[in-house]
Amino acid sequence: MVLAGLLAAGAAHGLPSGPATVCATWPAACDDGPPDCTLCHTLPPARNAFGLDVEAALLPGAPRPLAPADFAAALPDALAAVADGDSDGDGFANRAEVEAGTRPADAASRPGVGPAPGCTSANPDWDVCGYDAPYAFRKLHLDVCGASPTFEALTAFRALGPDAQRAALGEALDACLATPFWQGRDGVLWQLGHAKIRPLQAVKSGLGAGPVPLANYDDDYGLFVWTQSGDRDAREVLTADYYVEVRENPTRYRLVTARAGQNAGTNHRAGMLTTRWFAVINTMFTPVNRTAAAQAYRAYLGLDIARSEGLIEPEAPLVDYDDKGVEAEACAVCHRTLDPLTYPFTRYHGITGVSTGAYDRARMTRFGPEEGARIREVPEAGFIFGEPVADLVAWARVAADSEAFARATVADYWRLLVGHDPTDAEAEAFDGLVDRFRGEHAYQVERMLHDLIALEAYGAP
Amino acid sequence: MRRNIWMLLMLSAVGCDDGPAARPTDAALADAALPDASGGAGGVGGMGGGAGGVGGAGGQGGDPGLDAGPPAPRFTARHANLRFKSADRLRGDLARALDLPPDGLCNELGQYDCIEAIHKVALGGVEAYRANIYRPFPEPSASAPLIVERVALAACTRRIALDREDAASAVLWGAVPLAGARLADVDGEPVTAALTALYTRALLRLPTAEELDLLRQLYRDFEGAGLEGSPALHWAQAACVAVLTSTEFLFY
Repeated sequence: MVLAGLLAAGAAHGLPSGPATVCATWPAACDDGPPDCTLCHTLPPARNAFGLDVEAALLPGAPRPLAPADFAAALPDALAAVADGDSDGDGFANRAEVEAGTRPADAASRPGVGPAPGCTSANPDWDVCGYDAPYAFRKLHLDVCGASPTFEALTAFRALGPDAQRAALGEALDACLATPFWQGRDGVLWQLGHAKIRPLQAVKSGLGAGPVPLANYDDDYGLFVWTQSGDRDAREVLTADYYVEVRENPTRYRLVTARAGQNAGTNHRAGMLTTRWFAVINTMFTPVNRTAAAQAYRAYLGLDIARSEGLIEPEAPLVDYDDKGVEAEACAVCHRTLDPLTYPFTRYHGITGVSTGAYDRARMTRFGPEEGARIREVPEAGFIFGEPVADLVAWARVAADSEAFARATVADYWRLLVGHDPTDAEAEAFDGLVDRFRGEHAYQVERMLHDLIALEAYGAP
Repeated sequence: MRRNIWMLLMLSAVGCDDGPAARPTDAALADAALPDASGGAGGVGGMGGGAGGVGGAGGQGGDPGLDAGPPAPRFTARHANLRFKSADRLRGDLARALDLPPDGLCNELGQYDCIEAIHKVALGGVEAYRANIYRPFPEPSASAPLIVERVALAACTRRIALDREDAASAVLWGAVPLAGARLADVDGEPVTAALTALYTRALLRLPTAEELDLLRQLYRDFEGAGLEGSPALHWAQAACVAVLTSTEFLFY
């Protein structure tokens, strides 16, 4: 309906005839189908940089809004006028970008830059035509060890043959993955965990406790690092029924079956989703803890409901158990996904003293009608990706086995090592890496990293 | 006096024509780090402040504007993906290059670690526990160039002091008599050895002849400037800072 409304407003802005005209004018742009409205618009009718350039070239001086026929007639000339321009300033002409399937209004979206035909690298220091192993060697030391190799080590590496260089890269990566820079306190993996754990020193307990100690998030960092290192299955970040103890000087990790202050029973544990800290910082005092579900969805599956990501409605009616007005259409757009996503979280206590974070099948019965007329009817069963789940343990299993989890995990490390989200030109390499992470890498992050550093996206300057 | 030293440094060697706060584009940085045979890239002077000067991976240094010859072909990186080393990696690499402990590089007021305790977020680090900054800012802050210079200056000064205290275990300057007012022979082997050590430790490559000439000329400029104190000491400090604030060192 929203789309229909926007299209109806098209007489004043973009028009449904736009994509067809683009295809007629630049046929190569439509090998995979006509472009969508984001070619020219951000959120219609607002235009992006390319759309603004087209608009400026579209019958300049003619009164707006243009009649549909005038728009359609003038659009080919306007496209011709902007074809050689570079709306996003990324160095690639607009037409070349559209024909390559990249976005001419997004500087981060650029056609693949392969070596020129017959490229020969006369540069004595860098191979600008292909994978440059010494470049990768230096880079991985900085990325994973936190400092460059020595001149002598680099010189020795350069002297190796291609096969020996590949082996040496792998050995260097293994050595760096074991360093405190990578997996120690405040190391790379800890920092990767920040946005997932969302620590707050003021309410921390344990080492370095704050003034109001409520929970020790060191346990969360420990579990996170544990699942991302060694030969462990990264899915256990969501499915572990154990905890990980952090010891210091140097930082070490040890799997344990119980931890003081961690109250979820073994059968009700779901990795990072059922720690005491997760309950403190996400559930707090809330009966229907939507924030907890949204954070889990965002942090581990890469889906931010606040950005309308991952909205997959289950085949079940939306019920406003806590009188928040979620059934209003404007709210239901997101809550039809979010609320069923949340129900499995509702059986875990928030901040409740000795029971903080504990599983309690009867938790909802402990709230009065002031929390909502039907608050006690909130079910434990819910949905994720439209699939019904009986409880949070089942929710976590579906989440951990999903493609979204694998993509989010690999994307975390891609950003770390490559330095940005996968571009359109890198999409194929990224998709392949995700597939292998789920397959031959058996969800082991370190195996995936060995694969990642061998990619052209990492090792070509 | 210090201001005079740095002005002289900038005029004679840095080539910082865009100003230290200028943020080069990725493509410009890519060009800077992949210089052509005539050099002229990877300038020193903080965060890619300008072309020319010392540095450039394998380049030959020199300001292209001063080069009367025709421009040589340039090599363009395929990914244009240079990244600032940022707080943790910069700290680690400075410590490695100068063989100093990370917490001994630079201390504000003599007690607060410049990178770890004071300027971490500005250099692209995070402060999750108290400030809820979970991810680095997308770009280095406007103050990052100044901080980088400050840290490099402190770290170089520390290295020089240690080398002077114990020449036998010196890392960079042991064979160069910095304590005297002037160098005995700026073209001599001890100076070449010191500059070569600086380049190999910081940039993981040998200096080119042009780069050596440029830094030798820097010494002559200092010597002729009539500065207070030892020109040799000022020069060692300036040469070290110049290399450690080059685009080539700061980005990877």
